[in-house]
Amino acid sequence: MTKDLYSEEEIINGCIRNDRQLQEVLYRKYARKMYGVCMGYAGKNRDMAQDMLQEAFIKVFRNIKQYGRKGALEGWIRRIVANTAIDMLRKQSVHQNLIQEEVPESISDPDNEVFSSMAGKDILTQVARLPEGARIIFNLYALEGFSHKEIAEQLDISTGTSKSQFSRARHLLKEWLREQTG
Amino acid sequence: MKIEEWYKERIESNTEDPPEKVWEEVQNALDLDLVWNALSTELETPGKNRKPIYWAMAASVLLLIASLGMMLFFADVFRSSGTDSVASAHRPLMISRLPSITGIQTALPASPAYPHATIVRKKHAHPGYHDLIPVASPHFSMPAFIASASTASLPANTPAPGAFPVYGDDAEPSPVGARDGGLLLASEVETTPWPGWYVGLSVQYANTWMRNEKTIIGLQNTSLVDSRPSFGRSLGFVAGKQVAERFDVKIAFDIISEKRQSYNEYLHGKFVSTGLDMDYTKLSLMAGYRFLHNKRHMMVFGMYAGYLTNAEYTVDGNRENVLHDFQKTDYGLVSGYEYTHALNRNFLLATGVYAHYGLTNVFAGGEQFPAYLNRTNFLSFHFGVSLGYLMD
Repeated sequence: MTKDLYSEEEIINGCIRNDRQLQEVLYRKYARKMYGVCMGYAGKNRDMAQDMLQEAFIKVFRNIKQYGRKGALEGWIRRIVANTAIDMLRKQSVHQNLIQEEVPESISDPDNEVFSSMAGKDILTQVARLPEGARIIFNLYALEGFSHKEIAEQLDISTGTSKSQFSRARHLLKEWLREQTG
Repeated sequence: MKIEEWYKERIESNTEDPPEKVWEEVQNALDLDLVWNALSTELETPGKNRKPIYWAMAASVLLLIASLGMMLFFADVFRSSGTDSVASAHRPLMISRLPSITGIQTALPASPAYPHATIVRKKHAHPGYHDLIPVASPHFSMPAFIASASTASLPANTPAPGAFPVYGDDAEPSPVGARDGGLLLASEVETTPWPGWYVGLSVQYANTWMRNEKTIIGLQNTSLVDSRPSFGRSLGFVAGKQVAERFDVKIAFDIISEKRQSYNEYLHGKFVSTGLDMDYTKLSLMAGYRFLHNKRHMMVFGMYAGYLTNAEYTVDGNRENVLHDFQKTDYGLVSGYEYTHALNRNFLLATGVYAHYGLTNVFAGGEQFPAYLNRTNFLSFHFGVSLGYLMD
């Protein structure tokens, strides 16, 4: 419905004018997807996911004049959501929430393994089990497409830590998913 | 598919909506931004926004003084000029209530067909002009007439000036006049027979517009708010009096005066009907100027003051009391046109169209959202009917 009513250009211009109705149109258009992203970062904590979403959209509306219209609007919003999520989680110290246990080398790493047969919510449930630090690293790599170097800069950790945490997170998730499917 | 790709796909295809409170909190934060920006602007330009209010207040006071002054002036002129002005105004009912009849130059018996009728020649009557006014009041004992007549048309036994008949109090008047000797039938005479105070009931139906940013935006096609024409009713009492030949005073007290503004707007992801219903008790003081020959057409102007008794905001059928969001009092200007018609000697029917324009910002605001950020006043167009009864 909203797509028929307004183009992205009109929505952006309306938000710049502080037109509340068009701000709502923008919010409704992207809130659901960004809520999913926030839940990916916040894990089991729904309240935190909602706080992330709220803070992120406030930043979007306050800074929409700075949106250069060079890339996609969704990408710009997504970046703000991710940064907001990281800022909120960083306060709880990423370093203290990394995976400490060693992952056995014997666990296979079948990249082409088919997971789509499993219930969709399982992957979210298992990611939520990851320690917060490892979850952020996994999300930044998987969702935002960051390199380990970028993740290291973003979280003020070493590139090695980012790589090892991602690898451990990936192995743990696969193991947990196998346990789920029996 | 790699696990991270599957995860990304799963996240981006999320089907769970965030709770509505998230959007409400976002809006609250944006409102605070607006307040902050407005406060900054206000502090940079002190007093800028207050000037229109001062001008409006000054204009209101001047209008009030002018209205009262005009009413007093014409009331004074009316008293000092006596019956002459009454006769020229064709308002014979006033004869019985005037302190003197000094303005009437000649009182004459009527034609033989109506021996008890009386013809009165006006002081400055035009020669040859015959104009007969029936005196239709229970205070008169016989059919009587006030007329201007040429000397030639008068009977030979014309009494001396000042010979005016003495009337009794209990006889019913006759509704007829006579054509001979320049007399006319009563039905042929134009009168505005409402010199005393009248009181009555008034009913109005009004198209009301709440003038604020939201309504104005809603009148534009590009907005997600659609401001709808809204209607309200008024019910109350009216009292009035002619104070001079062409001037009236009128007081209207509306027990209930409804102000409405409805919208169709995009809220919570869908279009819903919303509206603000406000009820006032209102007092209006008006002055009227009668124009055209028969003086039944009247332009009215004046002021009103209203007291807010109820305010409710409706969203998709759910009502919420918002009385605390609005000022208790409102005042403004009234202007309009009125047509008066005497149903008989006791009842007067008046119909009119009026415009009411509020001068105050009725939005009270609060700590988070000051009143000046949502300046709101009313503009309404009324169609009204009133039925008045002559008191004396």
